[in-house]
Amino acid sequence: MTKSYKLVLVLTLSAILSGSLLAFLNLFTEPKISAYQDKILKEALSSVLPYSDRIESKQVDDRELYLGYNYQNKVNGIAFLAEGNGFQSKLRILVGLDATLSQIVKIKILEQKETPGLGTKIEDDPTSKSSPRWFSEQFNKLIVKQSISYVKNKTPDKNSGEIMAITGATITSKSVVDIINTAINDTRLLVQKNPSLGIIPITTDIASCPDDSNLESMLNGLETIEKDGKTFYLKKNSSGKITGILFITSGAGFQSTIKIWVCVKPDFSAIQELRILEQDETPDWGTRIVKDSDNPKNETWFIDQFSGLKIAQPITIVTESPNPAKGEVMAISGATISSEAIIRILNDALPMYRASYLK
Amino acid sequence: MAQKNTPTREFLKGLWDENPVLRMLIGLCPTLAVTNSAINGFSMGLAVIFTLVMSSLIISSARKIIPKEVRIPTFIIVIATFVTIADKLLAAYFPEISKALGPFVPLIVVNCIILARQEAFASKNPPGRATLDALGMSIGFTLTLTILGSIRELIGVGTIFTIQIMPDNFEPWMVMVLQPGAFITLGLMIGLSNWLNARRAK
Repeated sequence: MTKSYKLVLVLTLSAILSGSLLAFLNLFTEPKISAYQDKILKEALSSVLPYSDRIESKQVDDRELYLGYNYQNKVNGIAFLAEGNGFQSKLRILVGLDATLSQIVKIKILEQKETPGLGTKIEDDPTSKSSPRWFSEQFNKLIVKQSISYVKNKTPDKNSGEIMAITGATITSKSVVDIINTAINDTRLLVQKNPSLGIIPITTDIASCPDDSNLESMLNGLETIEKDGKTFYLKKNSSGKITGILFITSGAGFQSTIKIWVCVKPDFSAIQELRILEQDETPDWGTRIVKDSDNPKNETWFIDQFSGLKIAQPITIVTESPNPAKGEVMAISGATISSEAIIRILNDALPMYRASYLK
Repeated sequence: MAQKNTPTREFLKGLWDENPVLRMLIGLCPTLAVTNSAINGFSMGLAVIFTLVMSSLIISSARKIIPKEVRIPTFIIVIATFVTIADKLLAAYFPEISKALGPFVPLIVVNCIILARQEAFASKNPPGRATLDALGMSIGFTLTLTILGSIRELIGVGTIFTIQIMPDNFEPWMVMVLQPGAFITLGLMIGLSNWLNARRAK
């Protein structure tokens, strides 16, 4: 009997000693560990929401959202954690989006333990000397109105949400894409359910501004005609009737050359659609001609004004309630020169293209 | 073992003659898993040095009061305590290394080198000898892991301790940093050590 008491006593004592020692140690290490994790999260947040002056965390339902505010206290970005399984480990990714949830600002891989040398390339690719972080950098400014998809052996198209998968780590690349897609969709639903957050997601593709590679594929298959050295792309319906005429023109903006793609009605009476292909105007000011983050409900309102705009007479700028039937548009306050430049480019180009085409 | 080893011998045996990985083939799981780079193998070794030395010291000091029937559970409690201490200290003061080693620090608990040394040595010898034995064994383990990690990193990535060694046009053998590379390299290392020993015995 005394023997078994001794057994119990020794085991109990060693367990108590061990437990107290660890509890004591925890007093010192726990604050350090959580401080480190906070620091990592803070750094990651400011890297994925670089344009925000202030970042606040908000508990919405059971998820934590991080809202970024600009100097005017308006939401200009939103970040959240995306978590899920990769090829062999759990992936934790911090995703920063613009305030309409239509474009990724940046992502940061917080945690991964994928296959060394292959899957770990999502975080750090030592074989790429020039940019070891090329995989996660692909997500910078990625348009995510549709779901993100990955491609192999071809140049990804940023505007339709494509990224390049890592050779030898397809499953890991796919997992990153899937995890981010799921998290973005969940967040969209969440902010739609909670209008008090003041975030209105945009999902339709009206605002996407095609770059030249995309433009090529868009203009491919359109019949082109040349008149007076000007190229016209003809949009036709199934019965061969011309439904629209496209052309590309450019001119000086405030500080850069602005390249515009215009689609007009066959009789040159109105603009059907206008897109800005290239511009390098003052960030946050002139760039609002493409995307106005001060108007999160409709960031592309300026360009949208041109859809259906009558162009029988020159386009004019008014300060309030523009009438598209009279060819009136509103300028962006704070980006007046850039707005005026677009109208000047159009007013210069339209009569010339009209004259050449109708000749 | 009839005659007692000298203290120096007690320390040195872990480095070669009774090297846990190359001669006794124990603790192979972390050996194979973490050695995809030299630094990972080395830091794993450091964590094992701490855990093994502390555990051996405590167990051999308390060897007379631990009843034979519950020695294994007691060993495990002591080992687990030091592993947790090592894990927490790493996470608090060296978060980068802790992140790189991932789950392998907590898994030192089940590393059989540690339990084997308690069972075979520390529970039967005084603290001084037990500490020397633990130091020798864990340093032998660390050296083996560092060499293994260096070979795999050199051929698999072209670097050692992330310092570029191979010329720029060297095409890394990716397989070396994956699991098969661990088995191949370890097998060759064990073969080499057997060959050296056989030659020495002649």
